[in-house]
Amino acid sequence: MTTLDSEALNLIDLMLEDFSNRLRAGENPSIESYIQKHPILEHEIREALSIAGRIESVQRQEGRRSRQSSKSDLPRATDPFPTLTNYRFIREIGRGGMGVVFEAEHVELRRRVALKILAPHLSQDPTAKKRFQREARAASKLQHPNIVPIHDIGEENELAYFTMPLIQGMSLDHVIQMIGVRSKSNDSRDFSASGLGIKRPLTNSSPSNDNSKQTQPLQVAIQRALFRRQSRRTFAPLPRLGSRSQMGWATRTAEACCIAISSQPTSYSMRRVLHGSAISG
Amino acid sequence: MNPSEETFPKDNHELTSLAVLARAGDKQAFGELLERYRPRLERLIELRLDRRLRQRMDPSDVMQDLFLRGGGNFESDTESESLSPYVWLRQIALWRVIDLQRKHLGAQRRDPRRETRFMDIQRTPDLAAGWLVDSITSPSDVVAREELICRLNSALESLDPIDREILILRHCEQLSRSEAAESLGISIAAAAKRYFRALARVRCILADSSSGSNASLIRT
Repeated sequence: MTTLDSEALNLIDLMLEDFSNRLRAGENPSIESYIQKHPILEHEIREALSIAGRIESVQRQEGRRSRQSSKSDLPRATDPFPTLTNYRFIREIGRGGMGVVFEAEHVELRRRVALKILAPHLSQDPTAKKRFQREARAASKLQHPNIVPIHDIGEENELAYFTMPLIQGMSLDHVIQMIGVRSKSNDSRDFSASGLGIKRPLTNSSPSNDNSKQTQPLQVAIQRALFRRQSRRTFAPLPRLGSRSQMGWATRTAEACCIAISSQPTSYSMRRVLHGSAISG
Repeated sequence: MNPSEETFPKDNHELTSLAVLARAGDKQAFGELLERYRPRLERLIELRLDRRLRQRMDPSDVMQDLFLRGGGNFESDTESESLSPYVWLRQIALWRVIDLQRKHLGAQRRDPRRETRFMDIQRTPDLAAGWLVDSITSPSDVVAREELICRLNSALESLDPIDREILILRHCEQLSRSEAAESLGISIAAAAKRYFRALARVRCILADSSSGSNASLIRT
């Protein structure tokens, strides 16, 4: 490729951008069509676009690979809602490794519920389905003010689902506020009074030289182990942490037990908090 | 000039006003903005997060961390005021990634804002070489793969860091040309020049490799 003046560079840059965008959109733009517009730059256009195209093709393969190993089989928020006879879907609340939780309304009762469906790609897996149903049955046996009961369980159109009451829980703003207050002071404060029901104190989260003492909001995590080790007081409605903060909600299953502030940095994935109710694995 | 602006003028206007609110410390607006750009930001974090850290956290953890922190930490940053919404968010996400890396990988803690915009560039040759050879699948190809990565790495290292970075921005992060220029703090014209130069260089690397024993490897 030869040296070009800035006008030509600008032109080719625009073409490159357009070309890459169209490739990403799944189109198959022909390099010739770009050349036709500016035949004088044929050589440069051809070379630049072909390399860009090659890089993009590797990118797409990469994307496919990572999507294959990710949760792409879960319906995305933009997908049409699944259909169930008895329930009308209203919105998606959250998603996790096992399934997706929706806000739905029981058509007959006109009751708003949190409806959890097993991810379609798992519905073919008998173990996953069994586990999903066991989760619902186990949770339905528990009775505690802080444990969300199970309303209904069923299977339709190859979709295994169960429903729980929809809880308008604590907002993210509240959680941020609490954590914000915490990080500005140095004392260890027990959060039990916050209404979260969390009994473990946050350790010092202010910047210090001792890395081991730093607790970030990131360490707000679910500890399944606490289910056995600690008293039932640690059960708490689980706020959804995320941007749709005003629609906080909580669900509880037998296996996903409690939210706790862990002093172990990043031992637990925050995703489990985000999609707390969907945890069962 | 920016096609995304032409295609989504309404959207852009809304995003700009959200960004104004977010910069003023409105956490809800910040969260909304994060949600709008979530796929792009997750992609960015996935690209930039150190492999060693990836075992402990994934991009959604970092996103969650950003949600929780809000934009508040960076309110007073005057330099960022002129940035477009995504470039600003991207910057915050990158700072956060750098900060987490320091914290967890035991490096000395410093204010990420004191770093140059390009502090994570040392990782980019890896990434770039990864793209170019990752389409290799057959066993014999895999054997030669490491060698090719080495060659590509050393070749890409000879590129100017900003030239290398612009390949990442344009193709991995899929930034528009104006966003890429803005992220690098250079003019669109300068960015175009560097991009073109980097592509030419990659082409040379691929051409050299094609004529060698690894000819079949890089035909995608």
